Amino acid sequence: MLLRRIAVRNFRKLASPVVVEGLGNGITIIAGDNEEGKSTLLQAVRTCLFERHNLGGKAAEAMQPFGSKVRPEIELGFEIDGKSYSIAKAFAQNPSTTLTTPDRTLQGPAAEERLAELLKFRIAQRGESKPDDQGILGLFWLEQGRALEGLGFGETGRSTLRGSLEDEVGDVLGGTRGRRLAEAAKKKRDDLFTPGRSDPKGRLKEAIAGAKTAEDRVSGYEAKRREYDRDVDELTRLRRELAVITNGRVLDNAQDELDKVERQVRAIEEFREQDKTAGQAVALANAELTNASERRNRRKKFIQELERKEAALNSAYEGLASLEADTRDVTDKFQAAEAALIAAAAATNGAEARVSQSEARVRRARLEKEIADVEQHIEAASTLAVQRAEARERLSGIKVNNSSFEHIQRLESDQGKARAALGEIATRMRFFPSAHQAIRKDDKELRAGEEIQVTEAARFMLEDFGAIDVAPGTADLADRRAKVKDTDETLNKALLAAGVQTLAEARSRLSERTEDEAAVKEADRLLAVHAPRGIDALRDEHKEKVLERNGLAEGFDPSLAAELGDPETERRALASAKTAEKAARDALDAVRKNQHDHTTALAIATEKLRGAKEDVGAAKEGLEAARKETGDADLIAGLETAKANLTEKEHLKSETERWLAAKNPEETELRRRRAKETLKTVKNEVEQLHRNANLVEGRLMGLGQSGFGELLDEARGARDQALARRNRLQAEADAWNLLVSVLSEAERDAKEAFLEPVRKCIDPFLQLLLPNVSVKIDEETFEITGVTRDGRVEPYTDLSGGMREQLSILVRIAFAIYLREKDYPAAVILDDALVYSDPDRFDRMQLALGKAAETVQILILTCNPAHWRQLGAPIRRLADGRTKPCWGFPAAAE
Amino acid sequence: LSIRFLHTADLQIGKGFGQFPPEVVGALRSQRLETLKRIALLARDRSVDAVLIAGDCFDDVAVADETLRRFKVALEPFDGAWVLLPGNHDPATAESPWSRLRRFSLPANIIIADEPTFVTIGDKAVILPAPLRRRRDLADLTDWFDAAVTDNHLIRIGLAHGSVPEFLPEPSEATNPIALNRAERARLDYLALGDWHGCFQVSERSWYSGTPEPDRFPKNEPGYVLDVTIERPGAVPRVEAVPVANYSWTERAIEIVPGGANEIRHALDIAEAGLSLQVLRLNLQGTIDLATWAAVNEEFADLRARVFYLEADDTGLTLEPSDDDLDGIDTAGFVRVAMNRLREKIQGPESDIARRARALLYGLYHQSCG
Repeated sequence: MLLRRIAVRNFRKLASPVVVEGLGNGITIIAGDNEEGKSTLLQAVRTCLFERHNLGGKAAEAMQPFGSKVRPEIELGFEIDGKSYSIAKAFAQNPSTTLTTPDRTLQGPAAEERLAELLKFRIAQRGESKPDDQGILGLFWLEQGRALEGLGFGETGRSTLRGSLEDEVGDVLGGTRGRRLAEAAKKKRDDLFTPGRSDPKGRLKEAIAGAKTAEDRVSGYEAKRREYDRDVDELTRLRRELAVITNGRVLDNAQDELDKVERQVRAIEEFREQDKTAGQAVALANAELTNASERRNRRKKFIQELERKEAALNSAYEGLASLEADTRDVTDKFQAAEAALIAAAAATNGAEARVSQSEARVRRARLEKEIADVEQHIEAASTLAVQRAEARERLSGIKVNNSSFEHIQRLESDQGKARAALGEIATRMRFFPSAHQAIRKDDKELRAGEEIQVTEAARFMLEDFGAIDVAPGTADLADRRAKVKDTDETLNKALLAAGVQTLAEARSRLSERTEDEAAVKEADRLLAVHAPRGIDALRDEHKEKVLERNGLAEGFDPSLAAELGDPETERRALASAKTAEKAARDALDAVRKNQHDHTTALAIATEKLRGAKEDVGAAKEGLEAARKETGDADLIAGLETAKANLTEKEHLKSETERWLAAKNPEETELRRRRAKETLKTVKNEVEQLHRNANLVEGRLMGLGQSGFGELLDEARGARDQALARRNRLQAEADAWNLLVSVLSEAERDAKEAFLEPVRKCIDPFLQLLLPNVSVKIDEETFEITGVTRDGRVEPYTDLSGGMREQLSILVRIAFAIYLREKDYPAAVILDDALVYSDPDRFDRMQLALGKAAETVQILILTCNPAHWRQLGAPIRRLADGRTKPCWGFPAAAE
Repeated sequence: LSIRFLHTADLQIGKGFGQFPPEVVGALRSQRLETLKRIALLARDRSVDAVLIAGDCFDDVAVADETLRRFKVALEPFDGAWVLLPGNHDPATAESPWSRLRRFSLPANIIIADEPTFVTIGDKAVILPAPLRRRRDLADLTDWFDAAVTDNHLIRIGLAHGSVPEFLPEPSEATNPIALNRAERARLDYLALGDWHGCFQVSERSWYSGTPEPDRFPKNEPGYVLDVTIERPGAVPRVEAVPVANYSWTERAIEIVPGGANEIRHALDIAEAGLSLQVLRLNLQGTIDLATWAAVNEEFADLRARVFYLEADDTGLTLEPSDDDLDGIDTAGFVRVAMNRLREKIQGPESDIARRARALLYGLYHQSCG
C-alpha cells in the first residue's frame, strides 16, 4: 500500500482544508510548524481508515474543531499493487463513506467492509476502533511520543505476524500448550531445587533430610546395640570371674591362711616379751659391773697418778743437775767460737787486698799497651793530616779542571779550524832575494823562501828595494780573519781563566789536580782508620789512660809482688776466706743461742722441781683418804661379783634369742602381712566384681527395657524406606532437571527458528545503527525485550530513551518490510520521530530509513524539515497544502 | 506313654517392620502376638502335653518390657508346659529377655530351656535342649545329645535352633550348625528345629516348623505349627502341619506388554476372598505405551484398595510412547522436538534419567489434559 494523497477538512485542529499530495514511494517529509496539525493529520489518516463513518457520540464530536459543529471530512488516495484507490469519509453530520476502486465505487458500510478487506483490518463493532482493530497497518504509524511505549501489537497484529511466520517456518513454538507444559515442568523442577538449581528444596530436601535422620536414628540404635553387646560380654566376664573365685574357695582359703599365721604371730609375741625381760636384766647387770669397774679403775688411777708424780719429781732433780753441767760447757764453746770468727775475718780482709792488687797489676799492664797504641795512631794521624793539608794547598792553586780543560780543547780546535779557513784564501808570499837582502814585515825579518800568508793589507820592507804593500783582495777574507780573531780571543780568555798559557800546560795542570785529589782521598781514608773520632779525641784518650796507669802504680804494694797470683786465683782464695768466716759466724750464733736456751731451761727446771714437790704431797694425801673409805681389796671383790651376775643374765638372754631366731618372726610377720593383703585383695575383688556386675546388669536391664532392639529393626526398615524415597526423589529431580533443560533448549531453538525471518529483516538496519548489537524479541508478544551487546543481555527498559526510540522505529520498519513481502499493506508514518537521538545516531537512523525506503513507503511528519534534508526526500509542507483549492468532497449518499 | 505336643519356632516377637507405613507396622507387629495366642488356644483345644518353641521367640535380646509382658500374657490360654529355647535372635546371654522374663515371676508351666540340661514333660518325655548362648556359635550345640543318658521309658525329644546347611533347600545361616543325622545319632524320637522360617521336614524325625506368622516375602512355606504325636519311645512321630498365619506375604514378578494391564490380576492368581490379608509385592517389567501405563496405574489403585498392603515396584517398567502417544501430546512445536531429543538420550548414557524425564513429560501432559 502506498499513500498518495491526504485531504482533511473540519477535523480537529485542521479546520481549514489541507491537502498533502505527491507522496512518493520512498520517504516523503511532511513539514509543518508546531501546532500546525501534523499529528492531527496522522489522526485523520487513522480515523479515515479505521473508524466507521457513522461513529457517533463523543468520539464523533471530538473529531470536530473545537467549538464548531461542522462536518469532518477526510479523503485518502492510495495504491495497492499499482492500482489507485481512494477513500473519503465524512463524520458527525451527514456521515458518509466512499471507496473508489479501479473497478467501482462503493458507499457506506460496503465501502468500509471492502476497505477492511483490502487493508486487512477489522471494523470496530461498536464505538471507536481499538488498536487491536486496526490490523497490522496501524502498527507502523508512530504518533508523537509513542516510540518509547513499546510496539503495542494487539492480538490482531500478533496473530497476523504469527500467522505469517508460521506460514514460513512452520509451527515450531507449538502454541500455548507447549508453553504451559514447559512452565509446568519448570515449576515442578523449581519445587525441588532452589533458584539456580544448586540446592535441594521442598520434597527433595525433606527426603534427603529424612534419609539422614533415619540413618542417624539407625546409627543411634546400633550404637546402643554395640553398647548392649559390650555390656553383655562384660557381664559374662564378671560372672565368670566371680564363679572362679567362688568355686575355687579363694576367699575362704585366704581367710584360713591368715588365721594360721595370726596364731604363729601371737606365740612369737609371748616369747618376745620374755626376751625383753631378759634383756632388761642383762642391762642391769651390765650397769652394776660398770659401776664396780669404774670404782676400781678410779682407785688404780689414783695410785698410778701418785707414782707418776713421784717419778716426775725425781726427773726434775736429775734435769736440773744435768742443766747446770751443760751450762759450763756451753760458755767455753762460746769463747772459742768468738776467737775463730775474728781470725776468719782477718783472713778475709787479707784475701780481699790481694785480689785488689792482682787486678791492679793486670790493668796497669794493659794500660801500658793501650797507651803505646794510641801514641802510634796519634803520630800516623798527624803525618796524614799534614800531607792532606799540603795536597789541598796545591789543589787550591790549580784552576784547570776537567770541564775547563775540555772547554779549552774545543776552543783550540775552533781556533785551528778558523786559521785553516783563513789560510785557504790568504795570499801566500815567498821572497827569494838574490843577494840575501833582508826582507821585513812589521820589523820582523823573514827567512828566504818562507811562506808568508797575507790576510790583510801588509807592507813588506825589502832591503835594497824599498817597500811592497800587499792588499789581499778575497771577498770574505775579512770575515775569516775576524773569526780567527774571535777564536783567538776566546781561547786566550779561557787559558787565562785556567791560569795557563797553552793547552799542554792545561793538560799538565789537570794531571796534577788528579794526583792531588787522589792524595787527599787516601789521607782521609787513613785518618778514618787511625783517628775515627779525630786526633784530639785520640789525645784525650791517651791522657786519661796515662792518668789511670800512674794512679795504679802509686797504690801498688811492692812487697806482694813476688807471691801475688793472677786475679782469678786470688778471687777463689777470697771466696774460701769468706766461706770460712761465715762458718765461724754461724758457729758463734749457734753457741750463743745454745747458751741462751740453757739459761732459760735452768730457770724452768728450777720452777718445775718446786711444782713436782707440791704435786707429790697432794696425791699422797688424796690416796690415803680414799683408802680409809674403801680398801683396795673390797673394790676388787665387788667387781668380781658384778661380773658373775652379768654372765648369768646374758646366758638367759641368749636362750630366749635363740628360740626367737628359730621361730623366724620376720618371715612370720611377712606371711601375716601377705595373708592380710591377699584376703583384703580377694574381698575387694569380689566386692568390685559384684559391684561391676550389678552396674552392668542394671545398665543392661535399662537398655533391654527400652526395647531398642525392636526400635532398631523398625529404624532399619524406616531407613531403607527413607533412602529409597530419597533416591527416588533424587532420580525424579534429576529427571525434572533434564526435562526442563531439554524443553528449554528446544524452546530456545524454536524461538530462534520462529523469529529468524523477522531477524533477517531487522539485522541489516540494526547493523547500520548499532553494529554488534542484536535485538531480542518476545516470540509471543513480538515486543522488544532487550538487546544483546558484547554478549551481555540488557533489558529494553534499562536502555536510554534515544536507543529505545531508535529500536522501536527500526523494528517497526523491519516488521513492515517483512509483512510487505507477505502482501500486507504496510506504510510507515513517523510523527516527530527521533527527537531523543544524538547527531550521530540521527545520522545513522537516516541511513537506515533511507535503506528501508527502498522497500516500504515512509512518511515523516516534522516541524524541522532541515534536519531531514540530507535524505534527499521530497518535502511537502502543510502550509502549501492549505493554499490548494477546496476539493469537491462527495456529498453524503446516506 | 505317648506324647502330643505343638512344635513352633521363629515367632520373632518385637520385629520392627520399619519398611512399611506406620499403620501397617502396628498391625504386623501385634499380629505376631495374636498368632502366638492362637497357638496357645490351639494347644488348649487339642489338649497337647506341651508346646515347644525352637528358638527366636523374640526378634532381639533388647525387646521392650511391655513386649515381654504381652508375650507372657499370650501364653496364658494354655496351662500345659511351654518349653522356650533361646535362639540366635534371643540368645541366653548374661542379660537377655529370658533373665528379664524370670524377674516377672513366671508360672511353673513356662520353662526357659537356657541350659543344656534335661527338661522332663511329666513322666512321658524328656527334652534335650541346645540353647544358644550367643548369636553365632561355630560349634554344634546338639553334640551333647548323643551321650545324654535318659530313662528308656521316656520319649527323647531334641530341641535346637540352627541350620542343617547341607540339606536345606537354600543356604541358611552359616553359623549354629546342626548335624543332619543328629536325631539318629542321639536316638531322638523327634528333633524340633527352629531358624528356618519355612515348614520343612529334614528327616523322618527332624522337622523345622517354620515361623507361624510370615515376616518376609518368603521363598519357602511359613505359617504353620506342627502338631506332633509320638506314641512311644522309638515310634515314628506323626506330624500335622496346622496353618495358623493371619497374613499371606506374596511377591510376584510380572511381565507387562502393551495393552496387557490385566495381566497383573491374572498373574496374581489369588482368590478375591484372600486378598484382604495379602501383603503383596509386585515387580513389574516390560515396555508399555501410554495407555497401558495408565491402565497399570488403574490396576494398582484398584488392587491397593483390596489388599492389606501393596508394594508396587514399576522401575522395571519402561514407558515407550507410540506414535499416537506422541501425536496426542504434540504434533509440532518445541515440545515435540524435546520429546524426540529425550528419545535420543534414552539411547545414550543418560538413559534412565531420560526415560524418567519422558515419563514425567507424559504425566504433565495428562495432567494438563485433565
